[in-house]
Amino acid sequence: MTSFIVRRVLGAIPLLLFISIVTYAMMALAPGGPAAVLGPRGQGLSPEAILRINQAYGLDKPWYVQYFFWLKQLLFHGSLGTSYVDNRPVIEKVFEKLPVTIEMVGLALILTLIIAIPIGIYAGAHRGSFFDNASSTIGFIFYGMPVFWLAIILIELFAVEFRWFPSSGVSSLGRENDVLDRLWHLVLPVVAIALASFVSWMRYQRSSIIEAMSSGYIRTARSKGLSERDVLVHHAFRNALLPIVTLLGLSLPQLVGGAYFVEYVFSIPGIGYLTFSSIFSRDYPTLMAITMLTAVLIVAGNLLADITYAIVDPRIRYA
Amino acid sequence: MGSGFAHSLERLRAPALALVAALVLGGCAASAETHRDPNTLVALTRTDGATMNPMYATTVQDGSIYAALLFDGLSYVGADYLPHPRLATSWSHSPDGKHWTVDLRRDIKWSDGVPFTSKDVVFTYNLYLNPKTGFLDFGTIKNVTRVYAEGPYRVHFDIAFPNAVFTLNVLGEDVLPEHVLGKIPPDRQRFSSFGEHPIGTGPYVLKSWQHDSEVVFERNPYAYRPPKIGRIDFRVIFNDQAELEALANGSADLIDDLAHTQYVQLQRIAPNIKLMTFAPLYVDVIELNLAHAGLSDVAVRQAMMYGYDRVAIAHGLYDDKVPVPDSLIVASLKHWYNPNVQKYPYDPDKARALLDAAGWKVGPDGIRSKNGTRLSFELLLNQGSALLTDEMLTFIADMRDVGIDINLRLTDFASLSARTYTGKYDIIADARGGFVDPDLTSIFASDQIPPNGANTTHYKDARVDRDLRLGLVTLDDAKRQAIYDDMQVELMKTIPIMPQVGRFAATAYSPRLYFDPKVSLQSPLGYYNVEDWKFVQ
Repeated sequence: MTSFIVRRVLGAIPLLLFISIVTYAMMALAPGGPAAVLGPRGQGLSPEAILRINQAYGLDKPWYVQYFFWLKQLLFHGSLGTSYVDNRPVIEKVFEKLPVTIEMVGLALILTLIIAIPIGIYAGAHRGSFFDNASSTIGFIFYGMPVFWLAIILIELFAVEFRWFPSSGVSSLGRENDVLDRLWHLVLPVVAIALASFVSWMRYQRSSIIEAMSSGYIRTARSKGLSERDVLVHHAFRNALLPIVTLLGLSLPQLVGGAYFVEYVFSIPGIGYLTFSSIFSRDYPTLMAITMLTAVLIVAGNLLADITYAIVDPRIRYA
Repeated sequence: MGSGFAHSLERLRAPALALVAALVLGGCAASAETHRDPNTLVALTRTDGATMNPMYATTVQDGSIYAALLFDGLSYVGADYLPHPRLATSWSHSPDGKHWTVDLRRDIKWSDGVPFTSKDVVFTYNLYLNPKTGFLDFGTIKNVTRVYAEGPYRVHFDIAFPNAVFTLNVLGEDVLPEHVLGKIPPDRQRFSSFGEHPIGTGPYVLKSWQHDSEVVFERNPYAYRPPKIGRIDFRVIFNDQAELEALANGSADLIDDLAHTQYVQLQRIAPNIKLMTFAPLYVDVIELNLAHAGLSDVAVRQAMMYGYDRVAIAHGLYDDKVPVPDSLIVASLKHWYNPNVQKYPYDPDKARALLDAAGWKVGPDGIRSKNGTRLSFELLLNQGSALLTDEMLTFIADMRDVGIDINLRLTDFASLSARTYTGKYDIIADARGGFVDPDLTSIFASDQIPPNGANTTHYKDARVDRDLRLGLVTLDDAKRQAIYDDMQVELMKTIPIMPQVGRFAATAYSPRLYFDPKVSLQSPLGYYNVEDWKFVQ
């Protein structure tokens, strides 16, 4: 297992390097650089002053030279650089935004599982029934909707029309430490993410149950005279949960990458918001930090899924 | 089995419903109850800015509002739009206008208790003038050739040529503490922690800053103009509706940048909230790239003005709460505004006649052309502005009506800015203004075409060049007025930039707040008298 992990980690290095090069090149070749977003105040700048600003950030050099300096800074100093917008270390900015994103997406994941697993089990156990077809159809309708559109509909309905929930932010003024108020603010974004994503989890669970219910040990359990409920809950359900547990590892990057559009629509100041604002302000170091963090987590999530699978399923062995 | 499972779901339903009910009711209670420090002014904002360092601030929030709370210049601009002494007590200039002497106040300390002296002023201007600093207002002060002190409370400035806006622009720059920033090399100033931990002479000090969430200022214990309100708390709210709710339910006291839709809605949902509109300092404009074959023809530009129903915009989108300007110098700058310029009432027939006379013939598709050049342009617009988009849709329809084809393209600000400064555009919708002096050298002088300056329309007009040159070096106000009157006549005849409507400027505030801002709080001089604001309940 150790050698497997080492090989996987070493194998990820060229992949991460490739991602970093492509990301940096795409950003640097986009129209308008950091000096272009100085706003009206920068309009009076002399060409020399603009050159000085570009020199301060190393932007006077070709993009591949800039990339090399970025990489050198990361490898030899462990630094992801300084934001062009406010000159703060980007790692500080990223970690500042992480908690709210993890909170929102984590709650959404929990809600998704709460919805998806029971429905998946029931649909799998009643394959071909009206409930099975209806749950899949409804799930795919939500899945097919752009999540930002779904979010806007939720706002229109529950924030504007019924006024049950707030339309933006994560807390009311003066109640920043009130847990109930925070949950109240997160209801709509969490529901938007959960509705958009529950169908894939539900379908996984449904397939697992169908596969488990056709296994030999289920036939044995039935032949022992166990009730259908006991067969499902004590035998099929536990085994059918294994693939779902391993899939949780794959959702790790989403916890950090966040639900960009949902954060944007609900004005939640998390990683998604930081990503959008960094794109618009051409803040390359911050964008690189977010991209690389997400890439690392995708690799780590895949690895974690493989390891979890080996732990929970004794039949799996990695050489 | 199925019924058992369904039964399990059934058992979960009651607690689930209870949780949702608790959230809704608890949340509603949360929205109704607020725990407020009565001596804190809660102001709502869309952005908390990027830095407290005035050298590198780029937004109204950090460059104008925070700077007004934390720092002072030697002069400031009052509600009369004229410069008045702030850190200075008086100033005078030599007969040739190339040497200025400024006397300083003697009762001022920085917010860390260190006395303010002429050393700070000399240090600040030398820092600003050093190209390595990358000071964003470098263009404003670049004609200063030498700054030196005479004792602790007098400073001398030598300038390359007489400068009519010296007291307004040069002396208006914020003064920085030498004892804090003097140890940092100019090329490292940008990266210093001063942007997060500022020391100033203004009425407030920065207490705390949670990025993208909250910025709190407290009364400066050494303030020489101590504010009546002890604390100002800027809360970042990105959403129009949430802003209105916070103001209506008493969680907040002030929205200083009210959109017109919010203004209308507040009148309906919260009649107790006070509303104030201001004569705008900014004008929504349409900038034309005169390097383009069609737009280089002045007849086309004049026809575009006649063919555009700007009154319909002011009426339809803003309920007539914004003016339809005759000039780029707004009417509220009474001293400089010239109403006697060429007017452009909506007259599509006159627009068509002008184009016909200039040889622009209507083609089979209804679009005009001449010598192979079609009057077909791309209009670039920053995607973040919904109202400006509505204005532009009307503009496009009006232009089509007179035979000019305009295609709208939304883009982000960085791309828009890059294309503007590289001349890769036809037409751009934007806003111009914020200035209180008519010196528009950087926008219209022919030697300011990028990369040298901000003349992005590539405008070249000998008469305007002459007026700008003379206006800048003429110290006599009456003579300057005549010069800029002439400049406005020429600009409105040649139309490098089409003024549309004045930008809507309004503030909404709690009845417990008493203040008399006179000018929009979102203008560069909005918080000039913040120390006089107070609570009346």
